[in-house]
Amino acid sequence: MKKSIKLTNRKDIDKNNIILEGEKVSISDDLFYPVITKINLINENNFPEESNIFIRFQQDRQTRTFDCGTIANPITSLPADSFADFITDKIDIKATFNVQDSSTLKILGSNKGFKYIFIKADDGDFNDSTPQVAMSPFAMAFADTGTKLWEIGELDPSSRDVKIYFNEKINHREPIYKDPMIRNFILPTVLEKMISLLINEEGLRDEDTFSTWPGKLNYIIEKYFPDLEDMPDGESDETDKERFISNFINEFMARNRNALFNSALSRINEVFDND
Amino acid sequence: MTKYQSIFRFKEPTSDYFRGLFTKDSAIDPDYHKLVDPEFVEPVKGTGKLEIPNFEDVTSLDAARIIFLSLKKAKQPVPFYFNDVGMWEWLSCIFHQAHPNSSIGHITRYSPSNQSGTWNRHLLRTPVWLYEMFQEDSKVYLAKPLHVGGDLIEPWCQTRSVIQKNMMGLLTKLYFDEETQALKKNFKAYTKPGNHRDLLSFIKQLRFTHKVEDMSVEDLLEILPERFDRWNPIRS
Repeated sequence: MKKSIKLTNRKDIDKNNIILEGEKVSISDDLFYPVITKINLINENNFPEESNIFIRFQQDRQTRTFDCGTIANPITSLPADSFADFITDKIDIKATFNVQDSSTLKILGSNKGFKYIFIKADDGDFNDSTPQVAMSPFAMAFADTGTKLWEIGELDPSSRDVKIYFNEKINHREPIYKDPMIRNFILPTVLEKMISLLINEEGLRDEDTFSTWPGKLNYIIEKYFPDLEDMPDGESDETDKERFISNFINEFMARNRNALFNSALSRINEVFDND
Repeated sequence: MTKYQSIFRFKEPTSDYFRGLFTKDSAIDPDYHKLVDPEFVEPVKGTGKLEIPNFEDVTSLDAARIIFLSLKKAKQPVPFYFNDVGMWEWLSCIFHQAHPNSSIGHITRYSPSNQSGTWNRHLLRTPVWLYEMFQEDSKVYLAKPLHVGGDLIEPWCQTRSVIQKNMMGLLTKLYFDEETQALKKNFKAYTKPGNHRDLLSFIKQLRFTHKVEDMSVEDLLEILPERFDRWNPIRS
């Protein structure tokens, strides 16, 4: 059995516990630089509250290190011009999040491998970002949904995405559809309906274009389950269909744990602590 | 001394003509008229005048300084030009004399590669990149003939996180001879511990447990293990 031996007391921080979000600022049609808009850590490793946080960022040939407060008082974003010279046509800024002992200054913990902020990493860790938005099989919109707060739009297989409609009477529009708690509540149900149609409608499983939501879903299924030989079809046993749908949703939620689960938990605490 | 009104770029990068100039045993020399002929080249807007010395022992530091001062006049920041293949090929041509045919080597030394493993091979772009960061202090990397790639540059520059002022200071203290203004003999002796590759491995390990970025050159010299003592000025 392969064993790894640690020569230091440094702890590995789970990348899913590191929350780093960003936006890209356009300086011309095809050149951008990144801005880090959200920094947080779910302190699962129980680092002491007074420990320092510093983050090493890297993009292309440029590296930069920022002190980001302490575990108890982290800095929650970086000044907008922090990376104004990280100009590129393809933003792929990545980071190492470090927790440092405040007295000895030794590093107590850091993530193994880079935490990617805008693009998908090889291990499936990904945050909301432009490339994923383009791939998303969903879209949010506002409409008259009667007395319901939300509903699923028509599942038209020739459409680019499936619309999730929020009630047009909701005033706080952007916060609603970006809210991780709400997304966590809604997306499993929407996914269940979409996968179910993909299974039961003949021909949708063959869609291989990114211009329709079935094509996007097929791509995601292939990514999640590269060794999958037989996906259930309309004739399959109902139990097999349910198992596949459940596995897919679990995988989807696990791969988006940072954006859909960890952030949702923080959001729930935020909402109900203020109650 | 050859003078140019600005930096130029080839309209057609990596042409057969260009390849021919940098192929081993090729007897072709650049046609210097072609290097300013609007049919083949265009000026890189805003760049300043260039004066190229006619000596064969031009150092990487000399070349970096000349190019940097010209690029700095342009509107865009210097890194904006790092991927301009036609421009770096043109610059390689005007320094052609500095490359003895026996040391021509791979084309990526003259035509810049944007692959991460070979990005640093270009004999002009990497010196300009280092000069842009450290100016005249970059001598530990650049005080060498232009045609020499340099054993120190490739491994150190490939690890982007160690391209820091304190690391450069450490390399200078350990391996640079201020009297001769050149790297000390045997700094790259692979078989002996304490060589510069050994130092790079040590620094990479140190980054796991220490915030190396904040350490002074003196702190770093202090923390070096015994195997570096023969180079370490505070111990030797």
